[in-house]
Amino acid sequence: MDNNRPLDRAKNTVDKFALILTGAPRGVSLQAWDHRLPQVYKNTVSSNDSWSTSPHDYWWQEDRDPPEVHVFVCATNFDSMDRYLRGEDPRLAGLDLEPYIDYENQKKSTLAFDMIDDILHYRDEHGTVTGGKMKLKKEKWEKHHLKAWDWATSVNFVYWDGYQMVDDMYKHFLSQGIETIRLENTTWQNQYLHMLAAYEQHKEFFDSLTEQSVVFRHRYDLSFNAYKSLWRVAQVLQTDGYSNQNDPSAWNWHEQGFCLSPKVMVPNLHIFRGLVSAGDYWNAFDGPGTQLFAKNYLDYLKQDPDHWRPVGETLDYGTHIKWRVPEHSLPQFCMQHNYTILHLRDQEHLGTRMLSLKDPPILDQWRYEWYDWTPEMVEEIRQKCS
Amino acid sequence: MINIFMQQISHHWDQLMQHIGNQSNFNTDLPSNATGIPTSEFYNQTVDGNIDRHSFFESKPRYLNRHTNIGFVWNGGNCEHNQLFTINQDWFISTDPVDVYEFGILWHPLLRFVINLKYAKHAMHTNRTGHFRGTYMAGEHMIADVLTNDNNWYMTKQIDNLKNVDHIIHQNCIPYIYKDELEYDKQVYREQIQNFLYCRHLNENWKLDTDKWWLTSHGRHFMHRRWTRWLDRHIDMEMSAWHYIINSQELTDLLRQRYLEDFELGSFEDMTADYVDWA
Repeated sequence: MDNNRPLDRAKNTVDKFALILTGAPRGVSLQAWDHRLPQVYKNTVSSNDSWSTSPHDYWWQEDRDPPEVHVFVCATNFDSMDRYLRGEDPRLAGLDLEPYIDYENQKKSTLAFDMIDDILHYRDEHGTVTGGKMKLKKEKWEKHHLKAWDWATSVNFVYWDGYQMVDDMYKHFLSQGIETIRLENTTWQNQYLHMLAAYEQHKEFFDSLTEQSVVFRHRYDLSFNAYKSLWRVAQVLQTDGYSNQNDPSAWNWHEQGFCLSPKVMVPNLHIFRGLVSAGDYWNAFDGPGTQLFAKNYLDYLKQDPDHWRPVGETLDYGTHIKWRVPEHSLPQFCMQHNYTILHLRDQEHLGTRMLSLKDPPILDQWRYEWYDWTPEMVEEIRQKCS
Repeated sequence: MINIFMQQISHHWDQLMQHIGNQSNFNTDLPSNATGIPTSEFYNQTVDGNIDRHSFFESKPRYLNRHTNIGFVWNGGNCEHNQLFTINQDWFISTDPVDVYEFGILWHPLLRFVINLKYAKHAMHTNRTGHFRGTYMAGEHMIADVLTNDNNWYMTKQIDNLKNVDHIIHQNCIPYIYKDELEYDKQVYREQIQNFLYCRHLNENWKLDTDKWWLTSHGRHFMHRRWTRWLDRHIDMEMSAWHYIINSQELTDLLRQRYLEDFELGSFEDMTADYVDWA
């Protein structure tokens, strides 16, 4: 092992890995998902001999024990509405290939919304959503993940739903004299709020993480290059973000103490209209970065309704100076909290690709798989709304 | 096993080689009137939209080599990606009838089904708002629906496709190992036949997932970028559909029921091997 190589240095320094899977369970039921995610990550702790090629640098090839890898499998207790389910693209909704809503017909799409809403939500006498009806099949879900991650040090299930939070946020802004739209679910924020829930439910573990820990959060339908592993994340997060320490002619950021700040690594970093933006399908933290985010992100959301509102809900959309997209949220938080923000140009640079962003995308019938949707329900909507 | 068409089926590579050796017309060139599209051009044209890929394959084309009097009838069980290994000026693909000795490959129905699945619903390139390209979806409901209700060209029985083919090659003849490890007596046909029969190794797929290979032209395998991107995206669906079927008795039964005659013709058992182990 050559300790001058960033990858080798990472292999000598990382103490723990935490992998946090967040968002909707797209792709999880596919064999391709198992093959491209858990089985690839397995190379973090062992050289995978099921591949016919020789072991790769990014695989664990040491005689000593590898670091611990803890997996946090996060999910919402109940299925919730999203734009695909409402008919924008039914195939991404995880149900059928055939459209079941005439999306261009406002009357039919409104009727479809009401029918789906009735399937998904309980409402009180004021019409406010009070809870979900479509339960996650937890037993099946856990069995699937326990098998997929059987090589990991631990597999931890995190369940959460945002109905109370939606109400709390509405009342929070109302108490400040700001009347916001009362959201019906936490939409794209789930990908971050799941991580907060993981922290809350496993505080002892997350508080034990250090600067040498690597926390990788991403959405479910990510695929990872077979020749890489979590060591690729560790390599970039812990070493490649700085200039070469061993090159005396290079500008050494370490000497400036930049590494004393909590770290986050994001893809596709840009500045849009004065706001830092980055891809939100994955990001990596070190231990302090994780703790700071988990403890303060909710406060960040409460600072300004623009931090909380989802895309399309902002007034004067497109011209408002506080225009936001989900990609602004994490990097803006990190700017506010003085993180060191590391960057990879695109997700392929790390070795990842979203199954749903492939061309064409590959997806599964995940709503049938993990929630109690039936073809009969979809057919009833199709009969009335297409 | 009864061969209902009285055609010979080679169940082993040696049988095939022996059969080839007994054919006197193999060393002759193609008839001069044989026409078609060079394979390299075919990929360009289908990608650019000049050729409707569906109707082209529906017409049961055959691959022809200018220096041998044989034609491989396209039966849909191998990945078209394989043809990229044969790209040179000697190969072309034709839908016109040509007087050649025709081979056809009899595939395990599961293999053929999952490989052809990429054509199902593929016409939906964009949704109604034009936002998304077609989606490859896999799931038990979707597979059951296709097996039960889809009667398009990619779902035809092989026994029908191979009805007029001179010689059927059983899937068992096809080497699923690197071609360099095989030995052949018939050097003349080695490249042509083996190139056609050669089944890509699963690891090839990963090349498309690296920043070095993806979106760039490295070598002839990936010179037709948009074609190979379209083609190779389906492997995830193929792998997953395979997994769903071997793990579901209901889907296994549906497949056997749908392709009962093909199962009997090839004496195939239900597949139990995992896709990754098999490929």
